[in-house]
Amino acid sequence: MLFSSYTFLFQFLPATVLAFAAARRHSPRAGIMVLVGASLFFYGAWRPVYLLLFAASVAVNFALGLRMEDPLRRRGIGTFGVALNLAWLCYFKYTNFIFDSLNTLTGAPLPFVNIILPLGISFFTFQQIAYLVDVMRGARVERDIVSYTLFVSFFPHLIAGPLVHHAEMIPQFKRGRTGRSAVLAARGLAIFAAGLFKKVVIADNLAQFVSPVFAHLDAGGGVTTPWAWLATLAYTLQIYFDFSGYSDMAIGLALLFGIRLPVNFRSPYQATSIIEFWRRWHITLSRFLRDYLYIPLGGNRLGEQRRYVNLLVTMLLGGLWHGAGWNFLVWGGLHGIYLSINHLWRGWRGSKPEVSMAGLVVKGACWAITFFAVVVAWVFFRAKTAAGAWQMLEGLFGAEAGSSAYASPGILRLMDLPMLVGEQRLLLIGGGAVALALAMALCLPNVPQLFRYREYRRAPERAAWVRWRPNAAWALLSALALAISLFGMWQRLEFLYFQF
Amino acid sequence: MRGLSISQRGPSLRVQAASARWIAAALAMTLAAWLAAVAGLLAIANRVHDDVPALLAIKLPLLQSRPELIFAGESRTVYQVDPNLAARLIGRPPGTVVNIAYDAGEPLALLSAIRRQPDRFRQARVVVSVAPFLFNEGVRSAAVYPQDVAARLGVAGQMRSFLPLRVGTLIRFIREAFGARLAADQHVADLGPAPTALGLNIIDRTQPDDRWPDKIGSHAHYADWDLSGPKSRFEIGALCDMVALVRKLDVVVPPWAPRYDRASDPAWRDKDDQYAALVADAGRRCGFAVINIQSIPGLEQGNYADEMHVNASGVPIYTSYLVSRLKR
Repeated sequence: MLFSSYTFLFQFLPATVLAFAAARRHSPRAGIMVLVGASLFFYGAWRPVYLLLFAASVAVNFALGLRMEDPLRRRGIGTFGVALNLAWLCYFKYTNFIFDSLNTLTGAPLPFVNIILPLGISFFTFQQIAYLVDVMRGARVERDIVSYTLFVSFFPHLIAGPLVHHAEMIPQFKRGRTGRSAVLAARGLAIFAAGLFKKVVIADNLAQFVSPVFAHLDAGGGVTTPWAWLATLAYTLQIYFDFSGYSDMAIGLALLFGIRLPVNFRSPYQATSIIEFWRRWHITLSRFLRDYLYIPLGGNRLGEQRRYVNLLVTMLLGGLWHGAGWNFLVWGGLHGIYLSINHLWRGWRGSKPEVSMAGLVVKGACWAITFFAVVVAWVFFRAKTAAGAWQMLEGLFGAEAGSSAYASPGILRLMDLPMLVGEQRLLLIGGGAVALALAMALCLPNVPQLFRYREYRRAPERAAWVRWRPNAAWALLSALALAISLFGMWQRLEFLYFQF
Repeated sequence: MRGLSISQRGPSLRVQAASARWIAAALAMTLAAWLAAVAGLLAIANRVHDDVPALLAIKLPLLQSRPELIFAGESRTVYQVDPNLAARLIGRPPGTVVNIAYDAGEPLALLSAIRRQPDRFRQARVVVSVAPFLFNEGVRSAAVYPQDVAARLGVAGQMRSFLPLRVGTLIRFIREAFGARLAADQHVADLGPAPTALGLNIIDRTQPDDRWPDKIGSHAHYADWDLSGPKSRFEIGALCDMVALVRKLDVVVPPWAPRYDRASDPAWRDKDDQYAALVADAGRRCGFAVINIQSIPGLEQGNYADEMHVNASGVPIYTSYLVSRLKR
């Protein structure tokens, strides 16, 4: 069930909101029970049989947590639990990748195993690994199965994040306060509308300049330089608006129930360094990789050389988390190298951040280098084959002039309504759309800033030059965003991050 | 709209109430904005609409062979009439018989195609199948509502007819309108490749037992029975207008699966008789023949994929029978 589907918006969500409101009048605990039921239904609606797998994962991790109350057995059980989760994830996500790689390397005839990847497995497995690791480190064991289940299964973040932390979710389920529910719901509705607009109107319309080109390259074709740039830049913006739109929708939906999710994006393309980029892009994954991989590996405490090795390993595994493929590994490796270079540069220049020292031109150059590096890395992330990625790079730098026969024959699809405009005009329109989307990503405040969103037990976001207020003008804007998005929903394109 | 503004410093209850008002206002404005956008999109769709839909346009390249016998109409021709077999049965070479029917195909669209390429039809015998949904005003579902009839309702009529419960029909109309315009702009009817098997598609599976309706009288095609609306007017008018533009016009009323018994389902029998009479009456007035097929010898339940379409095994039986009726 997609957030941007009629079934979700007009059946599941209203029913859940009404049931939650009615239950909350009885008791906060009843409201939480409703959310658990709704979340399990939400997951089961995809493939009922996989609900059993999901429930088993939750039950096993909860039981392991309880057994870890014994300090003598804590480390052993915790290690076993983490290994079990990793094995579970490995089986579903990486079996065929491992077999395929072994086939290529050794020629061993290992079979292709027909495994259906459970939705959101990377997210709910990592959340539970973090829980077990924290309990190993001395965090309090959760004894309430209802709160624990909701922490893992809460439907706004269940399928594609944000990756939530038990310490920022479970306490919220145990509060009895309902005093500002309508205030939060109003803000939640507006944030949801903004997220839906970003996904359905911006990201989905950019997809038409991306998918046919990459499909053509993956099939062994070539690409002209203008189309290569258009497709790559369009994908750069598509994935941002798609994933950040999804995260905004998740945050807005959670607010409808008075729950605060962590922020996942803070205008990443405004970053003037790769280090800053990773503080703004998929923040909850970066946080997880830092706390549960990079720091346990030694972080920067074991010397400079080890730091770069740790960075590289962390980013390689971060890439692999996104998907079982060499392209994701290359993408992660590239970002590991970028980060290492960035840290080396900072070490060479001193610890002061470059922005404060530099003038506008230097800042602009820093931004351009960062953005360019990110764009190049996206080529590997998007292409399904290594050959396709190389073809795209050759196209970007004019090394090989392909044909443009892959592009739809001059057909523009506005909210999926087709119009014949001719190929040259399509290229111009695509360029304009990319420029407009980039301007929005660079010049407009991000959704947390716009709504002065406050994460759980954190200060509100820094105020921006434009700020949401619950008045008539913003009601109209939200209404327009929702109304336009409702038309775009007939495209039924999935969220890009569902595959991870 | 001052009442919508929320003073964050106000007492909690007042802030709560104002927030609830804001949510209500935002949702109400969404509805208003959506309705305005629907009206705007419908106005555009009505302008770009082409009476020849994309599904028909992709079949029209078949006419380049200047066929003598053209099967047209809705799904029961698409999936049931084999032009190759029909050509053999009438002793003509392949290509002289074609099947240009398409799912939920309507006479208005065919008329428009005939008017666009009159010389391709003038010397041909045209056999059009019809179904109850084409005339019954009560059928408003997105899948089968005749698009050319929808285009003739105007924006106000479209919104009145289909909102709020049949919004899917409007969405399909908008999408099909743009699809038809694209097909027209790309000259698909003239330049596109001819479809395979001379236009015949085959249904290669039978629907599961629990999908078969118990009674045809309660089938969606007979819901809210009303033959007095614009559908009947426009589609019957189109059939009448075709008569002068083709060598001979036959209108076929194909049968339902044999498991359904008209005698034991009077609701179905009455409605079916009314619609067959409507078509027959038009045939007498306008000069086209009507072939009302209630059952076909040798065509059994096992030959049906669902309640109204035959499977691969039924195609030769249905085609042979239909050709034999045309020969009479």
